[in-house]
Amino acid sequence: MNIFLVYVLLLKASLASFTGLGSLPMIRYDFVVERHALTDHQLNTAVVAGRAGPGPFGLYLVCVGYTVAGVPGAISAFLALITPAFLVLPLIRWLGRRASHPRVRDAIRGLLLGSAGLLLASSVPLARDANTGSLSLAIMIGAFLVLSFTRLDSAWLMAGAAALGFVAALIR
Amino acid sequence: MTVLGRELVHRKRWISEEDYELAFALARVTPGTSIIAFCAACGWLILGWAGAVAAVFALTAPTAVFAVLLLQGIESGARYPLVMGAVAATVAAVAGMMWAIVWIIVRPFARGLTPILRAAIIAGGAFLASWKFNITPIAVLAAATLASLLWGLLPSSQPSKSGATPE
Repeated sequence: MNIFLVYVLLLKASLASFTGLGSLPMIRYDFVVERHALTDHQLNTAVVAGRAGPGPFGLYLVCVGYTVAGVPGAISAFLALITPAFLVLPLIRWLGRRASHPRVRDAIRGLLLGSAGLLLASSVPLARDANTGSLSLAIMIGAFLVLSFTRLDSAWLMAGAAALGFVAALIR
Repeated sequence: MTVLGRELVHRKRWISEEDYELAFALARVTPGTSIIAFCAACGWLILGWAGAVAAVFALTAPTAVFAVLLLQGIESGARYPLVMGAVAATVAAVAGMMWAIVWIIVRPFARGLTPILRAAIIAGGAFLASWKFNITPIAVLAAATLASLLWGLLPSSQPSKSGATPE
């Protein structure tokens, strides 16, 4: 896949999201549904690799870029990940404290709620792919409860899930 | 961001409390990953453009390399059932994590009947539009933003005299 296209698609997804995984619905649409450059399973694996280590949530973009176009794809995905962050600089200079204006807050609220609905829709095929038995179902529900109602870092949850899966495969 | 704030404001005294609050607020309204924007803002406030670039690279470059190495490890371990067992369980945890993120996004907007209704209509509508009708994410996000702006114009959605807001 052309690395410029990788950059443009990932930048578009990044610009339309306000949370690390908020870009996932658009990435799934562009890379899995529209272009068939990735499968749901590959996308899932990219999210796992991006989340299992330290660093910000959006790092899975780099893994997506690497999966579709190797190291050049990873570099262009890395640039797509960091480019929107620099938008904060003109915001500091020109918007300043007006960011708390009610209309701006309403627009952000709409974007966040819309991305929540999109993320839920994206989770359906990914959960279907991930659900391979009672253990995986228990891990899904457990992960939801732990991350929703405790302050445990998600990297620990990933490590715990991996250890559980490893032990379950050993027993089998 | 809170940990970084403690370090930069109270321990190193590189930025003021007001600058920290400004960087924090603007990072939240900057598209993309908030923590990267926050680091860019703090770096810029401390050392200008060089500081912003250094802060963003320090946060993301080493961890990006680590993520790719991890992905390579997962891919090369695909032949081993034990590795694949661990990966499958982690994938299941990611699915649960996505539901948790949805809940964490919606939760602050779901206090009081009207905000709950607003959250349910906009988030639920976005979910249905994407899942049931395959409408593109850009169109869904544009509609959600418009709906929220229009909702904000309704008299019933204005903050009360006490200043209480859903958040």
